[in-house]
Amino acid sequence: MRAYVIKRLLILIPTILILSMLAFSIIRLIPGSAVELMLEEHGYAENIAELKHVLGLDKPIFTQYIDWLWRALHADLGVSLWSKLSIIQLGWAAFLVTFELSVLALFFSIFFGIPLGVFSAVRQDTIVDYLARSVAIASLSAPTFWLGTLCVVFFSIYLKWTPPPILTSFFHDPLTNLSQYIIPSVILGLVFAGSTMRMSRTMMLEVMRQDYIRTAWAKGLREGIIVSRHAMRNALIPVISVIGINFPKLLGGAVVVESIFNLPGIGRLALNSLNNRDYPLVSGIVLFLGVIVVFVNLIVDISYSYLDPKIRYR
Amino acid sequence: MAEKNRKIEQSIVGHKHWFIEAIIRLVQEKHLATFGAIIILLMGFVAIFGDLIAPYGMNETHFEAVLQPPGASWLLGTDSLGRDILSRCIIGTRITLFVGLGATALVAMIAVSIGIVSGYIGGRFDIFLQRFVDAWMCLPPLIILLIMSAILGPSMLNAIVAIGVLLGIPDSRIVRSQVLMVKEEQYVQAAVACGCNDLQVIIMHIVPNVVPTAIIVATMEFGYCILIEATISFLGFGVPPPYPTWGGMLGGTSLYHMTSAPWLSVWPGLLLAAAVFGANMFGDGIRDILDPQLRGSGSARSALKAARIKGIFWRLKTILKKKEN
Repeated sequence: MRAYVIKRLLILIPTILILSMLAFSIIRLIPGSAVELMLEEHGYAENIAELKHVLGLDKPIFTQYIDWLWRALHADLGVSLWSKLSIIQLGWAAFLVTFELSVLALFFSIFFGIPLGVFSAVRQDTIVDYLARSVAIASLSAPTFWLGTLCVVFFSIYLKWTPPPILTSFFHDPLTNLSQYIIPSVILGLVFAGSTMRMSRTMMLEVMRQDYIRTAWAKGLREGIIVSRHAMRNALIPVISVIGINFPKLLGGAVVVESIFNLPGIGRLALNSLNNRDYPLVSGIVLFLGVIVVFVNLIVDISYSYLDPKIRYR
Repeated sequence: MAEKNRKIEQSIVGHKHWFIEAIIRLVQEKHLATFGAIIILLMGFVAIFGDLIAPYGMNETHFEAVLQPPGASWLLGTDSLGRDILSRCIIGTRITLFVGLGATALVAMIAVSIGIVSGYIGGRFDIFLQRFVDAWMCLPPLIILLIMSAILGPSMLNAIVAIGVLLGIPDSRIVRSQVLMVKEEQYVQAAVACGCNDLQVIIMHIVPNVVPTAIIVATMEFGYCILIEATISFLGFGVPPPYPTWGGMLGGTSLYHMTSAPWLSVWPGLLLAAAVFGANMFGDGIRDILDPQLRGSGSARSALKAARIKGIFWRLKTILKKKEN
């Protein structure tokens, strides 16, 4: 187990290095026309030469990269061109919002998807199964932004509800905070609820055909005990890895939900900074999110190896 | 003993007439997938003949009939500039399918190239490339797509390239694992022993074995490509204004008008959901069929049927040739 963790941590280092190179190259890849656009539209500097100096494009590329990396390791990702605020500050405040949104969406998709999938597998080929599968497939296919838009439009017409302009902090007033997050996180979580439901149904079907389950039936155990104590544990292990794989998609997909429901999350921050051509902020956000995803994947891998002994002893 | 009894199931690709057999099995066994395929084919039909079907032009404004509800002359209503929504949806099918298919093809090509190169060369090159793929998979997909669109500029081709590159690199892993399996096969080792150079081995043995994986990757990603193209159009990036896109029709300034004209929000999204549903169902069905098969009477029967159909075509061909002579 320890060897596995150490091995995973060692693989982490080159991955993060390459990630930082990719995030860094975003500024380097801006074509000259876009630099001119930044100058004309937003006037971030006096002339092109000064703008290139501000962006750091005039030094040799290796020096730039080392400088940037060194500062990044000291938690200084630079300053946003648009708002002149520290990128780390902006990014962290926005990330907390997106984090709460994603965690709630994850909870919704797990607590909705897994029981539905398990139930659908246990009652295979019944009406409930077909209904559940249709709902799962529909929620997989419907675009998040469409559902969000429909939600806002019809709630504002029939329920006279609009997305609240200011968010209350969780520590201030948890109930109001949760009530503001609940609709966006359900919309965000719907897609993953569908795929989690299908995945857990497939795994459950596979596990229920195993010999040890047949032995349990033969022993005379109740269905509830068989499903919960014997089948679910083994069926849900791959579901955890699927959840880990879906987490970056959640963080990325939050862009749409945040812009529709007016949440000041990191997705909306990235969108606004792209529209403002604030490339240092964009690059910082990409690095930030990338590193977070790398660590989430690490946690998922380690917990997967903890739960599944076959991997631990490889 | 276990080695002797182990049956390695091969994909049906490579059997005689595998393409026809796959289609027959799809229609016979997977009804939901056939339904999905019909939806996509219908949309393809609408996309090709869109100009003939659409009652109005795609950007034909009628300022006297702004924000009309669905009715007699405007089957799905009009938007804030008086453009007919039905016509825009019909022309939008073209964009959706074009970008979707183009991006999917690019995904398959990139996944296959990177997968074969990485898997075949192996060693430190492979390890380094896989770390790059790992890092790429950790990047937030939508944000990277928006960045690529902003850097490359708004155009249909750039959207296809951006989506293709974004989704193709992670899928190279699937192809690479297949290549690693094929590399260990005895016929590949025999080819190398005979003196075939790398290119010959790749073309003769690896590529044919990677084709079913590539097809599975393509069908898997088709629905997602459509969805993601719509999402970036919704956010204002992606295919630029003259062409109506389903995502673009739902986004931009329309949100402001939708509270007074709710019909604007329904139709493009419904069509999108139908397209993605069809693509996903079709992909699932094809994946079930092309993946290593379980031996059963089903496959034997459909192989026979495929051979019969092929035989009919062959006989027709010979008859026509004789008539020419």
